[in-house]
Amino acid sequence: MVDAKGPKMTLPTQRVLRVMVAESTKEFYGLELGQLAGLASGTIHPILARLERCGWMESRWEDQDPHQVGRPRRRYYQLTPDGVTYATRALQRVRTPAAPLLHRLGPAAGIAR
Amino acid sequence: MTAPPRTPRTVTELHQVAEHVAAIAAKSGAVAEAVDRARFQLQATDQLAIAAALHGDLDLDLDLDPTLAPGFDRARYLSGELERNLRRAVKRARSIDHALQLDAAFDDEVANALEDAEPERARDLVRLVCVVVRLAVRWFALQARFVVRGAATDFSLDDAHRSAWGVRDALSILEVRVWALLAEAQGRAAGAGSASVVELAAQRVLEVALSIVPVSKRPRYREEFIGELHALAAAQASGRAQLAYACVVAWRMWSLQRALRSTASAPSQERVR
Repeated sequence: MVDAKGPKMTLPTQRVLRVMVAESTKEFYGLELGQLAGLASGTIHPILARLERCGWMESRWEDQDPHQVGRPRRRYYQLTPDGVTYATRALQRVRTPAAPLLHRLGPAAGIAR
Repeated sequence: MTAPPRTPRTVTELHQVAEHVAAIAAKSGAVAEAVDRARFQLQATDQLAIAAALHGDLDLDLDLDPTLAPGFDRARYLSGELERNLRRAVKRARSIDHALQLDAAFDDEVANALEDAEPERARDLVRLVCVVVRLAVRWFALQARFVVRGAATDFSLDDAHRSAWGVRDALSILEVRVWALLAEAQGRAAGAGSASVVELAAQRVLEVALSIVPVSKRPRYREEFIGELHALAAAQASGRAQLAYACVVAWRMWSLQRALRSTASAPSQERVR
């Protein structure tokens, strides 16, 4: 069941959501998403776990055979349709002193200048 | 024991071995925690008894000061809990012993798996660990039974405590080694080129850190983190950068654990601090 309230909207969570809302049909793997959101590698998984737990996001293993692609499988994350709606609303509601900072980050935070 | 001609373990076989070791290690952790609780309860009971003795020579059955009654009730309750915890710990210790005995091939299974990577020492190391674990489990069970039967001394409970944690530590070391081996094998299976550039130390840091995550979630996050390590290696990240990645992941593992256990309930309008 989707939790409309969602996770705590910390700055890193906002950055992740902005990247994902900007390309809501795209699937991202953890490392890629961390880089796009401008977060240090390795810090993103707790955020993804919270978003997944409240039903805003879903994940799946890629279909590729590891032997063919020459690397272990990746776990892909994507916002659910409800997640896109709730995340968009939540991001619009957030009016914080961090907003100018997020804006300055531009594409890294998923904001078009 | 004569070992059959050995063939390299497949990833699936290694995974089974790793799961097997992990299951036994988890049981040993439960035993150690039960003994911890029992120890705390024994200490609390002792403290109440000392407090009563300081208060005067009381005949508990005939001359109980009413003000002390709740304390003694608590002591009796703790004493009962202590016994229950120890009985539970003994039962679990026996199940570890039983699991190791039932599967007579356990030593060979793990040794063969490790031998693929460490042909020199693997068999001796695993046999030593298994022998130590079995002896420690039996010693623990013996000591704990003394406590339960009322022939208890602090010494026997301390000994049981040391044995229980010794078993748990030995199995954890074995578990980490087998998981690291599995990660290497997965790397090899995924591509001959990438496995050689993935930093082994980074993999080990991840393996150790993963013990914080709930057991049911470990396989998923293990594969995910090792996959990301390979992605870094494929992007020509240096060994130091990979180790740094593993350390950051390890540092955030508590946060991941909390995220996996908590329920999402915080309001989204919360202001950013």
